[in-house]
Amino acid sequence: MPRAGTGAVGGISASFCMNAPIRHFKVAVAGLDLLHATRLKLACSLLLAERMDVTLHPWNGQDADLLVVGGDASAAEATREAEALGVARLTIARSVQAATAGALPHGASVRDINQQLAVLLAATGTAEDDAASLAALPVSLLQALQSPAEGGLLLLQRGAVRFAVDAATRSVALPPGLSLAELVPLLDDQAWSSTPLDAATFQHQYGYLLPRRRSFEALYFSIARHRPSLLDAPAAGTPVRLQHWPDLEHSDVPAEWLLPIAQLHARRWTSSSLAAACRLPHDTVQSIFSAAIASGLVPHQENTVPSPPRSAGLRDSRFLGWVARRFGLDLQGGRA
Amino acid sequence: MNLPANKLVFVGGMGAGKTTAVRAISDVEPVSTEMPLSEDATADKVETTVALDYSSIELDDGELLHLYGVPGQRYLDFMWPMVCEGALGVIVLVSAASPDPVGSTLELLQEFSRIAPDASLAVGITRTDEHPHLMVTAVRDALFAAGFRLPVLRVDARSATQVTFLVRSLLSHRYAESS
Repeated sequence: MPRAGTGAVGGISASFCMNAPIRHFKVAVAGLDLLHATRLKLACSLLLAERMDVTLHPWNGQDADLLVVGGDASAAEATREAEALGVARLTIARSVQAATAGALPHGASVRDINQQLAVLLAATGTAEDDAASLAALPVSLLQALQSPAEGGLLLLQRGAVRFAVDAATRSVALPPGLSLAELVPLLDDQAWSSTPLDAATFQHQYGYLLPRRRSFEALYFSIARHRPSLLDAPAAGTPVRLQHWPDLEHSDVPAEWLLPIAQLHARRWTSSSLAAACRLPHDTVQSIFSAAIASGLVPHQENTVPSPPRSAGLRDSRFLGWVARRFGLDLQGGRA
Repeated sequence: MNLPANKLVFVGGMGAGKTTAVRAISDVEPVSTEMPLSEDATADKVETTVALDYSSIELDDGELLHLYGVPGQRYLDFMWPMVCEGALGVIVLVSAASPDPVGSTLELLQEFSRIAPDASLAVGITRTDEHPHLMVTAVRDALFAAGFRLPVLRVDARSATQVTFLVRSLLSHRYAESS
C-alpha cells in the first residue's frame, strides 16, 4: 500500500504528509535481549513522526502485524509460528552478517531498526487501512453513526484536540476545556485520526480525560450555527416538527433561535412559514431545520408526538411579552 | 378579576440551586425564610435550609414579575398551591448529584402540573459540572415516556446567563404552545 514518508530516517521525513491519518500497528517481540528490546522501543516511538503508532507486546502466537525476533531458543519457535500465520518478521541476530530486508545483525542501531520497521510495517498495509483513513472525516462519521448498526466508541485525535464519539448514547465525550463551538470548525479537517474503542477501554483509559458528555443534538445545532454548509439542506416545503425540545446550552445557539425552536416543538411548520412568523431570515430557519433533521429530532410519523391542548390561551400574552422583553426576548419578532 | 399570570416559580430538592437561581436573575436581594433541616439533608447543607425564597423583577411598565423558590420536600408542600396560584411558569431544578434525578423530577412535575395546570413547565439540571457524564437527553426521554414533553436543559444556577437562557426557553415554549 503506498504511503508517504517510507523513506524516513530516524523519524524525519522529507516527503511526510501532514494530513495522513495515524495508522496503528501491533509489533510482537520474542527472544530479544535487553539492549535490542530497548532500541526497538525507541525505534518504534520515533515512528510516530511517520504517523505510525506502534504497540509493542510479547509474541503470543497471534495478533501482530510484525514479529521482531532475537537469536535465542524461544525465537525459533516464534519464527515458525509467525511463518505459519504469514506474519512479517524482522530478525536481529548474531547469525546475520549484514543488513538485508527483514534481517539485522546483532548490535543494530536504533536508526537501523527504525528504517526496517518503517519499510516492513508499510508493507503490511491493507485495504482496511484505506477504509479507516477515509472514515477519519468526523462529519461523515457522525452521519454514519446515526445508524444503530454502527454503534461503538471512536476516539478522534487531531494534534492536542481529542474527543470521542459514542454511537450508543448518541453523544460526544469532551475534555473539560473544549466547547462544541471550538470543535465545530475542525470537523471537516482532514488531519483527524480515529481509533475504535470498546466501552470498557474508553472508561479505563479516557474516561477521566474526556468526562463531559454532549449529545449529537447539541453538536448538530452547533454545526448549524457555525458551519451550516456541513449539513444537508432540508427539502423545500417539507413541514417539520420537533419531537423533543433539543438538548441545548446557552452557548450552543443564539437566543433568537429559541422562538422558532419552540414553534417547531409546538406544531409543524414549513421553513418559509416559520421564517415569516418569527421574522427571521429564511437561511437561519433552514439551518434550524437542518439541525433538527440531522439530529434525529423530527419524527417520521406525525402521530408519535402528542400535543395536549393548553387551557391558558392568550390570556397573559401582553404580560408575557413584557416578561420576555425583560429577559431579552422579542416574542413578536423572534429576536433577542 | 382575571389577573395575568405573574409568577415564576423555581422548585426542587435540597441543593438543587433554587436560591441561587432566584438570586441570579433578581433585581433585588431575595427574601428567604429559614426552616429546620429535613432528614434528606446532604453533607454540604447541614446548617439551615431555605424554605422559601422571594424576589421580584420590575418590568417595563412598572409591573412586577414575582420570583419564588420553593422546596420540593413533601413536608413543605402546604405552600405549593399558594405560591403557584397565578404562576406563568414552574421550573423544576434537579441536581445531577441526585440519586434518582428522573424519579424526583417526575414526582414534582406530576404534582405541579396538577397544582398549576395553566403554568408552563421546564426542567433545569444543575451541578452538571460535578457530574458531567449525565446525559440531558436520557432524562428528557424518560420524562417524555412518562407523559411530559417540555424543555429540559442543563443549567448552572450560579450563572445569570444560563438561568436566563432557561427562562427564555420556558417563555418561548409558553408563547408557542399558547399561540
